[in-house]
Amino acid sequence: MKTLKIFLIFFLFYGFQTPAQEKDYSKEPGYFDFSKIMSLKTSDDITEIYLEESMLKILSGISNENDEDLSKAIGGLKLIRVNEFMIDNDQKSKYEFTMQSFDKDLQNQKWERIIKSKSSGTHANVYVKKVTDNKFAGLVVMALDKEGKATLVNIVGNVDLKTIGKLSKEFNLPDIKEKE
Amino acid sequence: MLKQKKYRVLVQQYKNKIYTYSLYMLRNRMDADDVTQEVLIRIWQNIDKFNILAAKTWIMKTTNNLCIDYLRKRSKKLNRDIEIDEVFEESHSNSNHSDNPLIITHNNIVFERIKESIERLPDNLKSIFILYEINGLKYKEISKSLDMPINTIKVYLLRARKKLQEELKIYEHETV
Amino acid sequence: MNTKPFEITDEILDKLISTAYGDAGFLDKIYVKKLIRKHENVRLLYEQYSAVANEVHKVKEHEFPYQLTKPLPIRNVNYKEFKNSFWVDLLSIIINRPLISTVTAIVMITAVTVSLINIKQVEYKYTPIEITTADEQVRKALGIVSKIFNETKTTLRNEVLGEKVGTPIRESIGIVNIIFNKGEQK
Repeated sequence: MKTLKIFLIFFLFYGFQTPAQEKDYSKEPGYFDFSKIMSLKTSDDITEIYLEESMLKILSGISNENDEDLSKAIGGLKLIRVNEFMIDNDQKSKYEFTMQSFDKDLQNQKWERIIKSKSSGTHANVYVKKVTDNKFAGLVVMALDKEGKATLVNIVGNVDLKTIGKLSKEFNLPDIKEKE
Repeated sequence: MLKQKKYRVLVQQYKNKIYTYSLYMLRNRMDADDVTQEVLIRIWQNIDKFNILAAKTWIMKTTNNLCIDYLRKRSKKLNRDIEIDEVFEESHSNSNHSDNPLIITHNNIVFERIKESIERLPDNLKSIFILYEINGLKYKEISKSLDMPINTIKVYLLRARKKLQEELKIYEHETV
Repeated sequence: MNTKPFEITDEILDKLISTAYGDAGFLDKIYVKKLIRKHENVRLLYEQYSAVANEVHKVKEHEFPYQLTKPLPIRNVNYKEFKNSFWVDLLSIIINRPLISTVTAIVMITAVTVSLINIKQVEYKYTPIEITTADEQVRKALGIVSKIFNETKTTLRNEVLGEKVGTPIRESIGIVNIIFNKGEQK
């Protein structure tokens, strides 16, 4: 009888817990916590983007007719987070050190590094969380350019790398001229 | 199938109440067993006739009536002291939560006093006292079970409590 | 505290006993507590009744002996379920506490309904301006990612394959050619 009473009380409280709970994306396998590196920024964010699943679904639906690639790219996503900010010269080495530490953390958490690039003062690391050979749970980008602009990107959900790769021409970003 | 389920629910719910009430009223395990079994049989025989929501009062009324019948049939003085010890041995051992022998002994003595004093209550007060304090029935339920007005129940309960207090004082006095 | 013996009438005694046993009305409880604080004899009497009441409340129901069911002339009933059955207990609670069961059911249904309504509201809370802004943001976010992909591809092609790896390979081939040519000349 006591067990039953506890059961009933539990159900009562659980019932009140169900409404109005914000989604906790930190539990998703494709989520990565950047808070450690964010403490190094020395200015306000140049860019801050936080797009949740509900919004992404709406955008995917809207883009479906006019921009199939975009619709496809964001259709399976749960969260997009982007932070871009400036780092002082004296913080650069600390930032690079933190990137290395994150590199270890990510690989320990079974993220696969697909790009590690260091050229002309620019560092860029890209990681993916694989679910199966063709399916991903998340993507992380950490970059630092020679001017000291840090970029952090975390995409949570089923990331379509091929489609994302095709998208740069669509977004009016500076064209990358290929040397011949 | 439904009859069996209904029966199972009722017996599961009230088996301890029937048994406890019979034990206290009859102070004899064998008679209490008989009454309990008889009540279970009657529940089965009448299961289609009563509303399951009103089952509690019907069951306790049946138990009470059978106990009264048994009490009328035999003498109250016979084997009284011995039966008390036998009847209450189980519940007494359950109440010990300490390993300290002094505390256990003290608890035993206190418990002995209480149960004997309850035993000494007159039957009309004892039935109400047990139904209320031990079986946990409400005034209204007791009133329906014993066919008594609620105010009478309240008055009898108070009398039972006063009587119990007096019994305990007499016991203390006798011990001294 | 007032040490003069207070006259305890029958009415006051009844209230005192009910308070000691825990079933007095709210006002009666307050009245008795007040008398207890004021009068020593009332306090002593209350403590005596309280002590007995505490012991009485410790007395539990006896456990029904399962073996009593064996000789019962009732067939097709599973007596083993009389021992411990969660579902039978649950059903008996629903039957015997219809008010509590109904209230619990209503509360749970209300909670689930409210949570469903809230979820629906969350889905459609965006304004057109928010959607437009989000559209720009998603393009920017994906643009940043694809830019990094493409920069890496360029670096690989030009700097790595083109200069850093290509030059030493070309030089090596040149040296081999020289050696080969010299060899041939010999």
